[in-house]
Amino acid sequence: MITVEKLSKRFGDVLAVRDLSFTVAPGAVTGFLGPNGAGKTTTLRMILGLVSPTSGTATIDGSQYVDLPEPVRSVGAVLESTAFHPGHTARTHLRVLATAAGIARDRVHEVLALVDLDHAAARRIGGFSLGMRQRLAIASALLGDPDVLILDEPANGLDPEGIHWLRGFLRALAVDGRTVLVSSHVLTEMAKTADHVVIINHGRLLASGPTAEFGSLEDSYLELVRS
Amino acid sequence: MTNLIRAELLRVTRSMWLVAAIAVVACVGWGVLQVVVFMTPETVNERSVNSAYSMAQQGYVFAMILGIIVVTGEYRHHTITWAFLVTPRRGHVITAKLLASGVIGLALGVAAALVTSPVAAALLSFYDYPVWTPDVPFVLLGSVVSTVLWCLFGAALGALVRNMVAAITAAFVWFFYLEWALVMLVPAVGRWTPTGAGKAVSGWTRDALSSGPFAAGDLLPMWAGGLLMISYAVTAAVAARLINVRRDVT
Repeated sequence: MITVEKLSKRFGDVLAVRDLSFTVAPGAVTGFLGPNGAGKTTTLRMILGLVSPTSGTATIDGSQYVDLPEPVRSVGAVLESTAFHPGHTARTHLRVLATAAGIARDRVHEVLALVDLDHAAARRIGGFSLGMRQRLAIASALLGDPDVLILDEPANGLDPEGIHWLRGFLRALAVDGRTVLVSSHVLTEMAKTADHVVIINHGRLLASGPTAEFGSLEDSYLELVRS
Repeated sequence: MTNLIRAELLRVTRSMWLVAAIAVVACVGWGVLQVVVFMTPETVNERSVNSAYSMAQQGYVFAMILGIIVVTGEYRHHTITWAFLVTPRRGHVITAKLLASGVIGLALGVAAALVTSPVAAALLSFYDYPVWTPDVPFVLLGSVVSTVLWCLFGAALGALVRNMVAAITAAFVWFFYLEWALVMLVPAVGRWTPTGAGKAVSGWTRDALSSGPFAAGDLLPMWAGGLLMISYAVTAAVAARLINVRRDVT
């Protein structure tokens, strides 16, 4: 369960997130929607303790990210345009994270297989396609077998087959009882993947609820964002 | 903390082996060069034995730069985000990077001592001076310790500045121009500068072999130089922690 309460963030003169509150329940995929610059990434980074809120709180099962005893075992994160060291192999990247988190080395091979990347384990990330990087980022998020997954635009750079794979993957994680929060602006894809949606614009909550209640998600979204 | 240090060493050895190899060669090579260049018939004398062995620490600038690169590389490639996701307590991340840099500095220092010592001994023997004094083990130990501290200091500086080019440039400007000029103008502060402290740790003795403003008689005792260097590193690290703790990672 992710709880965002009255969260605000100011960057200089810009109020990126304003008094935002919503919850994300386990056992479902929650789509986090909004136009570019709506504050999605800032909100996700505040949940993950990378950006400090100007006011308000974001908690995961009642704790702030920084207070989680073993964060990667509770929360997995896939951030937008994830960075890797180009000289590392996929396996080395994962082994560095696993070592730091005290996770057994076997898990590295497991997560590589989970994202269909085991064939590229020994290849340098510098030569990876965008889609392969996204898969590696997802593998990294799964290292600690977390109950909560936060993904920022994970479909970016994926080919149609990859998007299909991602949809099944996120659905399976939710069926497994995990909390899945995924940001996107690809509405047709979200309509197929998400059980719930949270829609924001200009840092404010516009609407939230079960996807089914929105009828045509695209029509409802455009109406909300334009008003 | 052990896990974080092991992860850091794994990261560095797998992504920076070329940089590390260059640092080893530069560090060792510079030490050897200093021994050979300064041990001429005109300069060498019976008091040169300790100086000859203390050349093992002469590559300290390379140790410092390696320390800078270890930390700033994470910012340069934006991989610091992963580090903070795994360990949201940023002070722990910085501490682990400093300690890992100390381990890397130890490897550098030992390599330099191992290679420069035989060269120093050979040259001393060539000039018919004793190749050994009871002080030599302390001088070698001091050289290794000073290399460790320089690498650690570089890491702390990198954590504070975060930008690789800016950190290396700042270090060069300070060590090759500002500090040198300062010590030339006000010799009394030489013993309190980072270089003065580093040379004190290494058992550097000016007697015959060294040039420059850091005269042996003016330096602090070994232990005091070590404490001073550690306090420089700790000050930079604490400043890095205080400044970076609330900084947003975007």
